[in-house]
Amino acid sequence: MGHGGMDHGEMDHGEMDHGEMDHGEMDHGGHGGMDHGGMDHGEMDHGGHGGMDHSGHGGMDHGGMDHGEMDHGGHGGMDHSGHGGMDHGEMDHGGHGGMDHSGHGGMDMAPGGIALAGGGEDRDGLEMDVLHLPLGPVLPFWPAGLVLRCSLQGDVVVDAEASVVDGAGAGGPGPGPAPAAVVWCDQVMALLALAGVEDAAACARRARDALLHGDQGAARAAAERLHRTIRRSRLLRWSLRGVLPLDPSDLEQHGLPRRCLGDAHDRLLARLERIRAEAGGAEPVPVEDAAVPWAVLPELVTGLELASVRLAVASLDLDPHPAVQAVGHG
Amino acid sequence: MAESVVTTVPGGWAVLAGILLCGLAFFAVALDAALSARAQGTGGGWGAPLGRAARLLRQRRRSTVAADTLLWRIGGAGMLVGAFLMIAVIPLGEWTLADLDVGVVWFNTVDVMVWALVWLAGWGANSAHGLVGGYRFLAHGLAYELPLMFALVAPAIAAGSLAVGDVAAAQDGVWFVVWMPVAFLVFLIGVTGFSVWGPFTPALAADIGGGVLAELSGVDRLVLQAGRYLFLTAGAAFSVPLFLGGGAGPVLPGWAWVLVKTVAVLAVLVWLRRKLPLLRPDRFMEIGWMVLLPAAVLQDLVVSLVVVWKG
Repeated sequence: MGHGGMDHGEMDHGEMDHGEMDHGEMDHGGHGGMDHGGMDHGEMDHGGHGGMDHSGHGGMDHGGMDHGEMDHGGHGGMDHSGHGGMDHGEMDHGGHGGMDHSGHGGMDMAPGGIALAGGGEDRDGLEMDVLHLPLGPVLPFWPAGLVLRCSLQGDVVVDAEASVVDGAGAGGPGPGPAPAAVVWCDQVMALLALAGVEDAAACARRARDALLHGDQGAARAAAERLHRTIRRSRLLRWSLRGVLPLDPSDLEQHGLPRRCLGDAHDRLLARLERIRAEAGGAEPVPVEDAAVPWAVLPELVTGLELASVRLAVASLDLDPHPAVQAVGHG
Repeated sequence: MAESVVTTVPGGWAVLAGILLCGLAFFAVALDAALSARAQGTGGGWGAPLGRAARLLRQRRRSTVAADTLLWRIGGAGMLVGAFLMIAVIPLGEWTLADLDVGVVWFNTVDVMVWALVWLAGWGANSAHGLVGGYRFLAHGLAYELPLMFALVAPAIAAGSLAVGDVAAAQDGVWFVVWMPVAFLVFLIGVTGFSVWGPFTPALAADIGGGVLAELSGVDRLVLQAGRYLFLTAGAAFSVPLFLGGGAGPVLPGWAWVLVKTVAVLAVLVWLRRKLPLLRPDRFMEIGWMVLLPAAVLQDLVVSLVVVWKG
């Protein structure tokens, strides 16, 4: 490698992620005249550099480098940000012999400005590309404002990170608090739409509209019809069974309210019962006002396939900006 | 080959066949829109698709960074072209465009091409959503394709020919759907499958922002969507000579019966879409291999035994 005359001044290599780089047998001879002043190699991790030859660095000026917290054991955590948004996550640099790094222009690691997918170990132990895909904050049939940054291998979520835009519970400038049953209808509608039962989803939407307009008769009819359709649909049960099953110990572990018990289909039926009771004019069902904490979501969805993640999220009545709760507490 | 039961018409008639196919496909689009509007409790419906198509034609084409444009376009346009290839072997009463000895295999070949087309359309956009959608379709394909092939075999065995015209003519007594209902059902499942229709739309589903359709815009989107409807229509039309006696029927001429039966099958497929949930690709695999495939093979066995027994 000929780095003669390079000026790496002001480079910020903090948090580079060169995981799985193999710099074995590299020959760094001939770096004459490099000026590495002002580099910040904080948190670099240089593992596997066996056989490197750094002889012949005459005239290099490493003054001002900050190698604090370097860990020469495996290249985790480096970040070449400052190189135009490149993401070198988990690239394999093995076998780059003879590359010319001068000016950092010769390597097209990010065609079109998008980083290549890095590799990662799949469940079966083979390497598989990792794609980063944010779900939300705006997505059809998704809790508004919730962002789930997923790392995907194929369509399996191997890692996730949840956040909420504009802070949780801030209560946006919405049209005001909605009755609980209306929100339930919306959530049922989202789950049904994701499962692909369009007629039933349309029915849930009509029930919601009727509730909003105060048309109790129409709401009751729609709720009854919906309940009947859902209970009778064996295909829907087949599709939702076993999606995010939660037993009492899971609820306790994640701090979830009791209404989350069972799998997606159980939760759907339970919510339909509540809508039916509400629309039927029965005395208001005592509602646990414990919100489902969105922060536990990554633990719940990691390891699920993307479609299951969507169904699972829709089956929990997540409400990052709870308009309903505002009634009770405001 | 031996004397043919259908007349092969000059190639120029392909234009009329294409127009017929488009007309039937538009019927499917309009019916779907009308059913949608009714379910939502809104008015109109029938005319809405025209407005949507016009809007897509005017929409500026959106592109993604580092898209594989060539493959992307091949995927979309191929869907449009494929359906026209299919109808070449479907006899309209006594006329056909191409009386191939291996018409049934031709149909099967085109429907297998859809695997590549949908996947390319998902791959080309260079988007995670599209890619997931493309692979979802492949997973579905793995589950529906083999049962579909075995379902296609049943009428061919009974007729002793792979020419579509012969298969239709072999049903002068009793329609094949009567004594091979399983094959008919599996065939319809296959048709919905390769049309990416109804329960087989996880590749285009809302949970991945439209999947294969996520990045398609303007005329590209129109072309792929039209291709799906055309495939659905061609599949429904193919069920007529294969299982529903071709042009057989009282009073009306053969070609009219073919159209009537096609419309009927098409309407059922369109109507069913709204009633059935998506078949999740991971779970449908089990149904495809554990239920549909053995059922189709068993159907073939029964048909073979009947053919042998009748001599």
